[in-house]
Amino acid sequence: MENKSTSAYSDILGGTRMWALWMRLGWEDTKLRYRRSVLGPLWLTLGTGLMVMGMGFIWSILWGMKISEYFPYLTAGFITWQLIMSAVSEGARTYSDQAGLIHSLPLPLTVHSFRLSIKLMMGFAHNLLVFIVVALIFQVPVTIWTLALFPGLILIYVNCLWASILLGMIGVRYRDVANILDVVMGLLVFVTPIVWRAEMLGSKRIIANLNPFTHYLSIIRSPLLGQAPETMSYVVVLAITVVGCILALITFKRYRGRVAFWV
Amino acid sequence: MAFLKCDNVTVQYPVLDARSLSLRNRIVNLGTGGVLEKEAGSAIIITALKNISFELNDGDILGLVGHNGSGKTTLLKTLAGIFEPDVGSVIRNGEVATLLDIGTGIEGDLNGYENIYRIGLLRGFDRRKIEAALPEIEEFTDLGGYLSLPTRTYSAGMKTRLAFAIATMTRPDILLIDEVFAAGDANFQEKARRRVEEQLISAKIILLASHSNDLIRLFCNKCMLLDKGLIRSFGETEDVLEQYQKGA
Repeated sequence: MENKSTSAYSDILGGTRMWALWMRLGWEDTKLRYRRSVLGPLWLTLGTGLMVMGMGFIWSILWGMKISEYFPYLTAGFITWQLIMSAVSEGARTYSDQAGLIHSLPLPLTVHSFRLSIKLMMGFAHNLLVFIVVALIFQVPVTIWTLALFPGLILIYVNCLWASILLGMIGVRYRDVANILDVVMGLLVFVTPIVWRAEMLGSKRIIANLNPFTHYLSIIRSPLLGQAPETMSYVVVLAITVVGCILALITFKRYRGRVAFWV
Repeated sequence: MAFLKCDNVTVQYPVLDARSLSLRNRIVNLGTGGVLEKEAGSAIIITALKNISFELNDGDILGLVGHNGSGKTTLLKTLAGIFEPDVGSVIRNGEVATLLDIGTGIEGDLNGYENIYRIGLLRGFDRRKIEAALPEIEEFTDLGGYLSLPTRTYSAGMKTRLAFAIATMTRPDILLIDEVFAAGDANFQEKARRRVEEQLISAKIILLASHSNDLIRLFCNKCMLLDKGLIRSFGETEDVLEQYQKGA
């Protein structure tokens, strides 16, 4: 047992030290997805921009909300949701997608999790351009709360990491899990306040608050809009982060050595 | 001083097909109260290595021989740290480098230079080390202007040359090689052999798995015959090869 936990910690430490590698691989992943296209990763930006524009016009009429208010809200929520959704869906494929590398080089496994997480953050950075354009058009205020974006993104990065380790290990052992999560996330997009506001639920607002993703959205979306996130959102996200890290660590200690056989 | 020690190592592969890989069977198990357990719960397990013990020291060049599936590659991967043994332990002292599946990690849409950095970093070298090795790689691969083109435009032989040059850019203490001379034209094979020979001089311990007895004879001062995951014989190259040929 002693041996297993030492090797888990040295894996994490070794993975952290190889930052030059996973930064590069993360960037190459982002770049290569749009290989040989003129716009490259800017397709990400363009796709999100068009999506938001189409949705924004219709839904603002449906909800009877002012366009200047609804557009920034929708954009901020939508790009954050894309980050969260990819973290879950791609997280469950972290190790199964890297079978070739895992089988031929003695790399720390955490390298693959760092690589995926940084790639997701790079994708978010590209989508952020859409929000910046929207914010400039509709004059979203920049306040002291805008700064809360940075601790929020750090929290999201840590969550990407543990989710990729934990879901990645479960996903490589049970190949159905990644598909189940895709289905679940496809449903959650409708029950999470992204295109609608939690306040619209009125007395049934608790439904939104019971959904952990509401809080994950809030710690990024509110700062983007120059508003203060609710304290409860930070509490919930921090609590899930701590529990998630512990679960990931326990699983990693126990099954790290099996991953090479499962992929 | 480099050394490599294998102490009573056993490695078992679970064969996870769709049946055992999926959650469905676990759930069916719950529903039927374990009736299907025999079929769903237990994956087929292959024992790839069994009770392997040996020790190598400075100057040992070990040839690994045996039929397909005898455990040669599994042994190399276990020694490299890719597989964790179920029982027993591997003790390594010295920098380890592998020449296993040398093409892994090469990305067709990146050019030769980008791939050199990519693979270099994957193998744990820092930027400075890679930059220092660049002229040597350029010279060895003989790719010239092609290095600035995406590697998907390379012929299979060119790809092998590049992969091989990147994989051999260091001078490790312990070198694990799995059948690397198989690909490429005669000219490349000759060059590759010379390059490995250079490494053989600087590396202190080498393991070479090969189906070519000539190659083993040329390089190795010790030999190990594996059969179904067990060490059948271990000792002087000629003796072991003789036994191998007799058995075959």
